[in-house]
Amino acid sequence: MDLLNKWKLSLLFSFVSYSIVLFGIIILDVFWIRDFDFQEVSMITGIYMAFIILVMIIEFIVFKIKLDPRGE
Amino acid sequence: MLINNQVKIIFLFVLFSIPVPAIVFLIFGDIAGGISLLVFLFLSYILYRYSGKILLRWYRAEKVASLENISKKAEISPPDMYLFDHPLPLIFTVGTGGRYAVALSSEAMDMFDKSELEILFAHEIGHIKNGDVQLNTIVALFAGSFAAVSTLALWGALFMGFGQNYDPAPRFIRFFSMGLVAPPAALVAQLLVACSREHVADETAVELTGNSQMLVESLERLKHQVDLNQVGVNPGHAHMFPLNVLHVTELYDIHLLLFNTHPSLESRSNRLKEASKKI
Repeated sequence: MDLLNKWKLSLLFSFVSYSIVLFGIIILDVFWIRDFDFQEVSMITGIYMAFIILVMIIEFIVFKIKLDPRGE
Repeated sequence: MLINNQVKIIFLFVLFSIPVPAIVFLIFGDIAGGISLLVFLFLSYILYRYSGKILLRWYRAEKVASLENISKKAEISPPDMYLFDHPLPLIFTVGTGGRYAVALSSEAMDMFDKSELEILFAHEIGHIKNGDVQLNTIVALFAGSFAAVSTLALWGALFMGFGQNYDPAPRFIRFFSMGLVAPPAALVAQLLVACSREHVADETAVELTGNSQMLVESLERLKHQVDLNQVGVNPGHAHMFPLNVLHVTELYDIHLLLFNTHPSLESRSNRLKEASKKI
């Protein structure tokens, strides 16, 4: 199955995993302050996602250089 | 190449030693930050010094001999030979600070004859001679420890009553945790371990034994056996083996694709043919 040979799909699933962690952090925050503070949740999401996306861009570039020439 | 590898090792340890002391410094001040920096530097030294032994213990390898003859040919000090029990025909070399050990699995011992083993050992000696082993060992320790988190998650899920290891729930938990740890672990391996190391080690093996055809055949046999017995290995250790032993058979394994640091067998075979023509 060609789909299984796509490292980009692996990174996509990784991104989903990191998003699940963010969801857990937001739930913890809501339980901690016993309220849904939109501003605070936006700030957490913004900082967390900015970091994750930055790391994933670096990973994407490195894997593209290293894995694509080997046909993966 | 040796100096280049040493710079990479220093980079990895700096990356390991700096973040936590920096956070401690920001929160608790300069004394706590300084103490934590000292602790991390000491930990880095211990990890550097004993990484080979840790990996040998990881595979429960036992010392059986030392490789005198072939190391004499290569003009290096003889590495120790270790045996470990594994259903795959694996061979790898670990060590830092000039003391190296070549570990061979029980399946490889059964499968290969004396001349095939000699050429596989020559390949490993090639890694020692070319200065790859220290970096491979340190990367295996870091990437392997990262990747082992997913196995811990699987075991944790099993102990918490999520069913058997073939049930969807624990496998999904493993897939999820692999999604978290695989990209950074694979990034370390891909950034620091060069694909060309295998070509150079192959060429050294051919120089030492004068037999390129047998190396290709041994690698093909190894590949065939690995394809038949699809047993999981820690993906963070995959770069230490003579070829890529990781398999993606279902969607749950897709993160293993990121850990392939080996050139294809075809390109290695072509390079060896060219090298043998020169000899």
